[in-house]
Formats: sequence, structure tokens, C-alpha cells
Amino acid sequence: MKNQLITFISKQCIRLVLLLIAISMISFALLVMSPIDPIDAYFTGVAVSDEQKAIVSAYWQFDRPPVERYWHWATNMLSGNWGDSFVYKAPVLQVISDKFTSTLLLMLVSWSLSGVVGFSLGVISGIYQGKTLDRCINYFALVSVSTPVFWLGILLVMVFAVELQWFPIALSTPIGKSVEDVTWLERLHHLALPAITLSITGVSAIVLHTREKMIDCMNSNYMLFAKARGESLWVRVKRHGLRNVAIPAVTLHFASFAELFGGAVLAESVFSYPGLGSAITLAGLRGDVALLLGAAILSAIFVFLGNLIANILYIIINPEVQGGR
Amino acid sequence: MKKLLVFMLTLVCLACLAGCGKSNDASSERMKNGEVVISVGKYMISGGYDPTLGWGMWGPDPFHSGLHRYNKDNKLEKDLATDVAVSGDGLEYIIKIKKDVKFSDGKPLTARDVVFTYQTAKDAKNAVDLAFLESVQAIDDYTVKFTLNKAWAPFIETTATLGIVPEHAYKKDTYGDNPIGSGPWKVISFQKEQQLIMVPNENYYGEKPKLKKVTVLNIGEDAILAAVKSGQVDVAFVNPEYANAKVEGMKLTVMDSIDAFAVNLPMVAEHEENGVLVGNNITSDLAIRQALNIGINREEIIKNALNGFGEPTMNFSKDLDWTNEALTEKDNRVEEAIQILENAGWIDSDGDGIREKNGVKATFTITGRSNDLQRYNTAVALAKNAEKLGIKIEAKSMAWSEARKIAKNIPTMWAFGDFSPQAYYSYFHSSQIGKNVINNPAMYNNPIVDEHIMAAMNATDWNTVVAEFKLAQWDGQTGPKVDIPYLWICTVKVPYLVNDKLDLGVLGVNERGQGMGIVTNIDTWTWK
Repeated sequence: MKNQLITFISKQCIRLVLLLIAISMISFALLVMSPIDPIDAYFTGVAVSDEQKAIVSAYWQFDRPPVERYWHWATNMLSGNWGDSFVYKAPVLQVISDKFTSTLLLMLVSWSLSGVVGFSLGVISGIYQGKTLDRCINYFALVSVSTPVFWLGILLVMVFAVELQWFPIALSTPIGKSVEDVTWLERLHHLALPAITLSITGVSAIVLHTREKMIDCMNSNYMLFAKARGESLWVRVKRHGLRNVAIPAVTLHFASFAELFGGAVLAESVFSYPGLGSAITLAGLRGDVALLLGAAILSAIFVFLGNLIANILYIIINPEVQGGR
Repeated sequence: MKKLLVFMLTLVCLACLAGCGKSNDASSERMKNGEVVISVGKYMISGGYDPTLGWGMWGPDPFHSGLHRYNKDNKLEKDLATDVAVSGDGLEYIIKIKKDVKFSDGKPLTARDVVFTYQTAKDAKNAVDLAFLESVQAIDDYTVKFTLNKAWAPFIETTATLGIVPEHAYKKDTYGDNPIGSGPWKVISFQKEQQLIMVPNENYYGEKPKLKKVTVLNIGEDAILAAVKSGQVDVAFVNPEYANAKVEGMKLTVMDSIDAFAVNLPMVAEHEENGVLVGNNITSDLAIRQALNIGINREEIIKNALNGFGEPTMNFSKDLDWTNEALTEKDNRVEEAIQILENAGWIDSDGDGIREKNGVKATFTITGRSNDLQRYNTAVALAKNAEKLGIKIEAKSMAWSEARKIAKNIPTMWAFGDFSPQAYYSYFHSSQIGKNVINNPAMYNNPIVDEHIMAAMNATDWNTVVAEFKLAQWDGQTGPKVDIPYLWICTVKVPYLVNDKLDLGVLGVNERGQGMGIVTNIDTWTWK
């Protein structure tokens, strides 16, 4: 099994490299072909002599042919230099790591939350199929899957931040407090609403898939046999249900990294939570090649890792797959 | 489903009930301590407070001071400079600076810091326009000599936007987030894109700010009303669409902006140039341009398109130092406009409400930038308003990249908002037609105007620059006043929600897009 895993992972790594090359090329091509002129976008609203524009353009190599620019970026990248962001005028890696930590925290919290809650709700709903509890959970899942993140976010803000004042309205730290004085508790307090928003919309898919699988499981012959043997409901579910049901949930949840990214960007904008979202938008609108490519590569690696973990867990959890390979 | 709905509704009702008891304790606490919390757009909290990389060009710079500055009437005046001597050929500037000026860290500001700032800005090859600066050197501790390689009067403008940075504390990678300047405010805490806390700089040589502490946030469009309602923010930059929301304890305050909406009216007939269509058969007729200019009702357009947040204009913003007021006339002179059209042969003979001349109908298209609703709405309202003149305008929403590319053929709605008269050169000089895609989209070509513009650009002192640019708009004989290359509509007003008890004094004038424009006069803000 170990060898199997190693060959599997190394194969995946080769795929990752190819994927990254393709993604960087496509993103670069799209940006170059887009009608945005970075110099023009940068100097919006200020009058600057053409000579100065030429100087800036030459400094950032906007006047070079695209192939040369890409090659320059790619060779730098291979030696570990991510380049400088034209918009932020700082090293790309620094810009991304500044913002990605907040985004990552938000995503991890809401991801774990939606995983745990979604799985539990799905299991309960499957066990009590057709009962009121099941119907409630089902409705909740259907409503939440059709609710746009930003709308839900605004609703939660209105109720819990403006009216009840249980949670802060926006930002990741208290207003008027210096960075050094901010405690972890305060940070979590600020993280709560965006994380809840994001996890509510992430819950539904897990609930519905787990529920479906649980119903199959409950109606199976082995469950009937276990019941006949006199095992109580929870013992049956624990012994014969959870492992079977976990497989779709795990795959689905790890594969949802991509959606998580999109959702996080929206939630960030509603809650004015600092993160990668606004930086990527700005990079796109201002033609900041280095930053956009950096962000594209990072998110590709992130999503890829999610899928890879899902695949590996699949092998570990499901004995059928092991035999098959 | 019903049960769930009832449950959720109950929850919301409970929530609302519980919320009734909220108070404004926070804001009165701030009032007592002389603190304010403001949310004025993204720019002020995105960091990079480094003047050598362009900070201060897109908005006011509270942290640094430069050799010159714009006063509250947008006129250039001396700031750090005490004496400016320009050589006869306009190539040499010898500037003496104030003595006893200190940075916020207590160290003195000398000519060395000025030289360092200009050298760093030039080497950075960034936004600061120093293309014509040949060299800069310190003559003594308080005298600096600038040598240009070409007479370039706008150099003075650069000295007004470029704040001086301290040589002893400047590190390229970190300075932007920890500025140490000689301006009225200093940063005490900064979290990128979250909040900036600033307090008065006790070493500032000018009049000190009245407030004790300002916290700057950027709360997004979605949450800003909620934040204002909860009493956590005293000054908030809001969308014009939300601006009429009633919030207890807050009032609507409107800031004039220099952003003026105008439509370019191509002045030559349609023809092909290098395979691209340029010119416009309708707008190239002087009668059409003149009739539109005096015939439309700008007030009504502003009411319909901008919720009233605008000020009619027939030229660049009147708040700019170099705008020639002679272009301002009364509009909505429908009779007169119709007379002009009929004299020129534009008659509606088939009774469809649209005039014709030689079989050509007076109809043309104006595009409005698709991601700027204000501009598109203005184009629509203009089209509606021109109907009474018998001119049919079709307003079309279009992506900006496309709209500006074809603007020499199909006019578009521009937002002209530059403090510098250099903009005038880009939009009116005949040599600029087609440059940088967007320059001179009206294809305006008037040799006398060109002469005035060049006289201004090559001038050696600022007064001549301003005077010549004014002549370029109308010298009593010719100019855009009678040629109407652009149909000006309005300058845009920027709405803010402001705490009732906060006195903002006389607001400055700034650009539309940057919410931070309102902080131009933050030094004079005070609690009532």
C-alpha cells in the first residue's frame, strides 16, 4: 500500500507541474490580451507627462513583447523570485502572504465548521428519514444552497451586528485599537460572522449527499441484520454506517476548496475582512501581471492539494479502491 | 416549510426587539476624547504612504509636507519653501526652505532630505513626474538647486504633491507603512486594508489639528450603512444611491468634486484613417454642437441621472485655478438653439421629431462606460433632454476599453478630473489627436489655441502658465467657448454621511473616485 501511495503521489506531482505551467500561460495570455493598459489604469486621475509614462513603462517592462515578458517572469519564478507587484509596489510573495493568512484562517474555520456540522446533520437526517427533523434539515439545506453568500452575509450583519450587537460589523480587529493590543479572542470574535456565513452555504452539499448515502445504508441488508441481532440504533450507525457514509462527504468536502475560495472573496467584501479577494480584483483591473500570476499559482496549488488529499483519504478509507489498484 | 419560516421570522423579530435599546454611548465617548472614526474608501488605508512612489498624487497627504501645497482655493502656495528663484531660461530653480522644521521623530528637516527625496523619487521610476529633472543638489543646509533639462513649468506642481521623506529613516521596503514626515499628522498604528490610526504630529510647524485621534477604516459598500446606523462611524463615504437614507444622528454632507462629465464631439466628418473610422458626420456640424451646448437643461439632467448630486458646468470645474469662467453661460435656451439649427439648414420636414439636413437625420450615438453607472445615466438623461431640440441621441452602455477606443468616431461620456492644467494639453492640443488612445478625442484643431497651450507649457513661471491656459479656452476671439469640442454637463458631488455633532468646516474640493477627498481639510475638523 505504501508503494502504491508513493507512485500515486509522484504521478500527481508531475500533473501539478504541468497544471501550473498551463495555468500561468493561460492567465498571462488572458491578461495580455485584455484591453487594459496598466500604465493608463495606473495614471487615472493624474496628469503626467508622456516622458514619465515611458519611463515607468520601461521600468516595469510593459513595452516588451509578451513572450519576452512571460519568459522573464517564468525564469525568475524558477529561481524562487516571484517578482514585484506593480499595484502594491512590494514583492508579490509579501503581498500574498500578508493577505493569504487572513483568508486562510477564514477558510479553515468555516471549512471545518461546515464539514462537522454538515456531516452530523446529514447523518441525523438520514437516520430519521421522513420525520419532521429530517424535513427541517432538508429544508435548511435547500434554502441555504440557494442563498447567495453576500445576501446571507448582509442579513446576518443586520440581525447580529446592527440590532443585537453580538458581533462586530466588519473588519478583523476592533475599531480604534492598535495592532499590538488586539487579543486572540477579539480576532475570533471578528472572524465569527464571516466564518458562519461562509460555512452555512458550504453545509448544504454535504448534508444532502450524506443524507442520501445514509438512507441507502439504513435500508441495506447488513443494517437489517444488525438490527435483528439486537444492536441499538446508535451502535448500528457507529459500527456500520459512519464509515460508509464518510466517503462521499470526504471527497466532496476536500474538492470544495475551489468554491471555498470564491465564497471567501465574497464574504470578505461584505464584512470588509482583509484578504486575497480584493488584491486579486485589483491586480486584474490594473494589469498587475506578477501579482495575478502569483495568486493564480497559489490558488491552483491550494485547490490541487485539496483534491489530492481527497484522493489519498479515499484510498485509506475505502478498501475497495486499494484492491482495485 | 411553514414551520421553518415561522421559526426564522420569530428569530428576526426577537432580534429586532432586542436591538431597540442600543445607545450612542460610543460616539459621545469619542466626542469627549476628541476622536473620530471615518470610513473614506480604500485608498487611505491601503498603505504605501511613500511620496517618492506617488502617495499624495491621488489624494491629500496628511503625513508629509512638500515645498509647495494647494491651499483651500486650489491655488499653489509655498509650504516648506520660503523663496523660489527661477532662472530666465526656466531651467534652474533655487529654492530656500524653512529652518527649524522637524520630522515627526524629532530630527530636523534639511536640504539633504529634499535632495534625497527627489533623487529617490526619480530613481524609483514611478508615478512622480520627474522626467525633466536633470539633477538636484543642496547648496547649503537650507537651499536646494534643481536643474531641468527642458523648461517645464508644471515642475512646480510636482513640488506641491511630493512630500519630503527623511533620509535617516527611509528604507524602501518598509517606509510605505511607517511614514515619518513633516506633515500635520503621524501614524501610530496601521493594519493594511483594515485601519489606520493617526494623531497630530506635535512637531508640525503649521497650525495643529484640533482633533486628538482619527481612526480610518474602509468598510465596504455592503456594511457601511449598518456601521453608520450602529453609531460606530462618524464620517462615511457612501454611494449616491444610498445617500438619501435617513440615519438618526447623521446628516448628509456633500463635497464638490473636480470631476466633470463631458461628451467629446468629434469636429471632423467621418472618414477612415489607417483602417479605423474617425470623425462624426453630425457632431462635426458647428450648429449641432452650439445648439446642444446652450439648448440642453443641465439641472434637469443632473436631477434625472445623478439624484441631484451634481453642479452644472460648461467647462472644467470652476474650482480649478486655471479654468476660464468666460465659458459659463445660461443654458436651456431652447428657442435660440432651435434658431441656430434652422439657420444652418437642420429642418424637421417629415414630422418625426428629428431634424434633417441634405437628407441626413440629426441622430448620433453616445456611449456610457458600463462600469460607471453615473456616467451612463448622464448619457441617457442627456439623450432625453436633447429630444426637444430635434436631435436624437442614442445612449449605449459599453465597456470602457471599447468605448474610448472608438470615441473619435462615436462620442462617449468622459470624466475629466485633473488638478493639473497639463490635462488641457492632452485634451485640446492638435498634436495630441489619437495619442495614448484617449487624448484629444474631439479631434480639436485650432492653431491659435495650440499656440496658447504651447506658450503655457514652455512658460517659466506659474502665473504665465495659468494665464495662457485661460487664454487657450477663450482669448476673446476664438477657442473652445465658440468651437464647442466638448459638451460639458456637470461636475459631480460626492455624498458623505457625517455625525451631526461633528463640524467639518469648509470642505475642500477633490476627486470623485477617491473617498478620501473629504480629509483635505481634516486639520480643521472639530466636535461642536
